[in-house]
Amino acid sequence: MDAAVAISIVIVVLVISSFYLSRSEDSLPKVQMMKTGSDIIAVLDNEGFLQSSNATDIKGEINDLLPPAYNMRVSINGTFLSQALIIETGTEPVGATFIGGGKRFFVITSPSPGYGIIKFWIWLK
Amino acid sequence: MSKAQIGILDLIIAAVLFMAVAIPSVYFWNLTRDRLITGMDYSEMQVKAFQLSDLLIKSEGKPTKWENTINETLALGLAESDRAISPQKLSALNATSYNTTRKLLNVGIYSFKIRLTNPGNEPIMEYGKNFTGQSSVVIERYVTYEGEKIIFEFTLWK
Repeated sequence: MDAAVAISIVIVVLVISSFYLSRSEDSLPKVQMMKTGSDIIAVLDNEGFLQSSNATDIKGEINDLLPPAYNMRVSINGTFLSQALIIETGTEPVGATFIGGGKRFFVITSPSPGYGIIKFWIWLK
Repeated sequence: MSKAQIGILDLIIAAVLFMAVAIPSVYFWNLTRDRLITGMDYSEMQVKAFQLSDLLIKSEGKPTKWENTINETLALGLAESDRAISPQKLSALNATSYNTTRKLLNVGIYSFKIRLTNPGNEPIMEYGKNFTGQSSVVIERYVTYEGEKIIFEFTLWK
């Protein structure tokens, strides 16, 4: 009886630890996704797309850079806009999908000096 | 059956049971330990690769004009501004030996390769050693170079 109980306990411990080990997630895809979003926003800023705030041009550039596996949403607001500019590349995430996000401040010099904030959200299709 | 025979039989059954539990346990323990060590190694590589790619594409280096005084370089950075690669710094990197760069980047036991391509995957520059090891982490970052968007690929391997 003692032996049976001991063996059962050992087996239960082994099975549970195996289950939790196999469930451990690889964090690289999430970090890569966040960095991709952040890089795209930086490139948009460096290329002057944010300063022009032309929704069609920004969407085209995002679609150019965004890997096919991702969808992205950006919101631009600032002193030079009367209302926030929302740009989406695809459908909204479904279910419990991980959504990465971030924001970046940028400066505009024309038509008058000011600043803007761009926020982004990125997720797997 | 005598008492002695029963005692021996009992011992044999106990030993068999013990082996039946001990052998899979030892095997599983080793397997788990290997998986943990491999996972930790890979995580360390991932973190290092992200840190190094961040350092290279976001920082100007130290001193900021290190490309003019390569021998006095304390830290490498290829950016002229956030995620905009400087052509001068890229040329200076090309002129620096791999071992010097390895020391400046403090990659430790790892080797690395930097590859810059345009969105059509045509190479602009390659630097470092090609992967010939057991495991690698490849990080792709978007940057601008001379006003054009390009892909900065950083591979860390061992």
